[in-house]
Amino acid sequence: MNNVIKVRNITKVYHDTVVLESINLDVNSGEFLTLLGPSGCGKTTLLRLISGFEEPTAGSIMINGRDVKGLPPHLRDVNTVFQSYALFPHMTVYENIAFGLKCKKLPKTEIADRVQEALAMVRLEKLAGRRPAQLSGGQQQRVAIARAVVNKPLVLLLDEPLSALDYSLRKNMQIELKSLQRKLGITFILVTHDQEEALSMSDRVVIMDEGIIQQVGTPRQIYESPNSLHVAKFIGEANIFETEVLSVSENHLQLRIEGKIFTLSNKRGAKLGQSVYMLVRPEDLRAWDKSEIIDREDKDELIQATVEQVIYKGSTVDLILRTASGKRLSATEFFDEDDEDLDYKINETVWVEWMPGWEVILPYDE
Amino acid sequence: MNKSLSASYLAFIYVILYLPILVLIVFSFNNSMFSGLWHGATLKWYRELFHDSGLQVIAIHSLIISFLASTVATFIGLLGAVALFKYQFFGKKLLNGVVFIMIVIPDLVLGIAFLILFHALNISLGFWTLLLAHITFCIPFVVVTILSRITGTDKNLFEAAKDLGANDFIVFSKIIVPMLIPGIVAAWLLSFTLSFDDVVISTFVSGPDFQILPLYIFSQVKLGVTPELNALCSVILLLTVVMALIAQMVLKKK
Repeated sequence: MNNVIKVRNITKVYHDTVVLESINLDVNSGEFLTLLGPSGCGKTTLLRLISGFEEPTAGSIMINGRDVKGLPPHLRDVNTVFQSYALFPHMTVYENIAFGLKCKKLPKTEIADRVQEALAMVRLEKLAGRRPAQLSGGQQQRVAIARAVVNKPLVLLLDEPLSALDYSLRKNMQIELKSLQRKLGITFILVTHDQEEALSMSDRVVIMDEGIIQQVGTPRQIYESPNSLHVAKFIGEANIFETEVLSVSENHLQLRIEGKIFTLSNKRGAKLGQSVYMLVRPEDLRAWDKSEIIDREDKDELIQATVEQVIYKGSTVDLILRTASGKRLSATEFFDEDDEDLDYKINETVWVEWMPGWEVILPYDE
Repeated sequence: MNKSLSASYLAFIYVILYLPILVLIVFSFNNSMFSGLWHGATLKWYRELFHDSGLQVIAIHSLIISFLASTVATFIGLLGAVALFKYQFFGKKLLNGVVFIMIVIPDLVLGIAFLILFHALNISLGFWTLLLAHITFCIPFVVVTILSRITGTDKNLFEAAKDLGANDFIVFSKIIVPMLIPGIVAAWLLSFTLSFDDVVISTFVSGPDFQILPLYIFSQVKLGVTPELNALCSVILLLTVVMALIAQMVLKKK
């Protein structure tokens, strides 16, 4: 697989503030890559460096094997979809989409063909004569995408393109964007702070914070094996236990969690006496009530907790639990054949467990 | 009760606003040279007006000055407003402040300043000094009018245009100007009227070879208001109303 974009040691400094520090990133041709992070983490700056609206303080960016240092945006084979869409208000949909091609001074017939093609792609043929103000948010979004892809860029850069849309429209646009990307075969780089959006659309996710890349991986890798506490906290919810490694054998280690000893596999080579975090996702926690646990021999090895809150969500039930030591846990229980009756009562005692191996053990952050 | 009160209040305001103008128009048709009384309708004064070739020359002078001054001022002011909005540069705040000072500065001060300047530069008063002065005092109004229109424009528009391959000239001519057309038209019309009826500044910067209408009317009024002047003012009023209507139509279309 070839890399359409290679970012090497990029540093960006604004007025003595380091916004990006030694960023290295390879973007595969044809993939859907998401830059995810809280606001101010540098993700938009990285996008603007790639698009050419800003120049890096140090480092280089290669697009399609060519160093783009000093190249203006329109000579970079990339196009941007802006958060505000930035449609030209005085032009019709057709004129908006044709703008880039007109700037390139293409023959009129070719412009007409390509604009029609782009209009068809985003299903806006009937609205070609409208002004942006006469369109809904979702339609404006599609015009913005059509205006960018009509130029046939190698990479489409999307800066929080869905943040202005309401929830259900955003869901639809996520699916539409993803299928559009597959159809076009263009590399998409999307910037977002919405972790759900990142997980559901991307081939790979780049987690950024405070100007550095924290982790790069598929949504599943990021979610199931976060490499730092920060990533784990940023992506989804997690129950976090702080503890020490009691003993280490060949492939296993022992931890004391809430007064119980757990023997778990040592995937990351933790050492004896090392302080670690153990993370379990709420949906991996199982909470059993007394009648379900009574026959089990290993019930003393489970963590006991009382139910503080029960939040019914339709397909799931979210529980807020409190252990004997006062630790707050959250657990998400699914209605399935194992557990059809999710009838929890407040102040009821439950026994909590998780599938061994589904936990994540991370070293203490400095 | 309340309704009739508000209606009569409204009528009162309209009378105060428009009665003088109405009197002017009515008396331009009065068949008497001096009288303030009505002596029957006539078009005599209009006929005289259109046969007064001296007056026509003066009117054309005024139109030329106002047209040129408002056009040049709109162009310079447009560039200035776009620069103030789009770019960060040294002295931007100062320039912004100076523009507003120019608006509130008394015409008298400005007029004398122009006079001293032209005198110091040894430029004889006439067409060019008049034009320069009119362009100058129109520019701040243009800047403010267009700036109020352009403020709040999404700056991403310019980046989007650049991303699509537009250079600065295309961004200006295809994006900024078309978006600002209503503001540009408004600024031009404002400049035109400001220039067309300016007396104070023009008094200081005009010479004997180039008469303009406001100064001519002003000097004639000293000899007494004639029905011919009434007719002249009525024609100017008609022109102004037509221009305002055209402006309304242009703005509505956009």
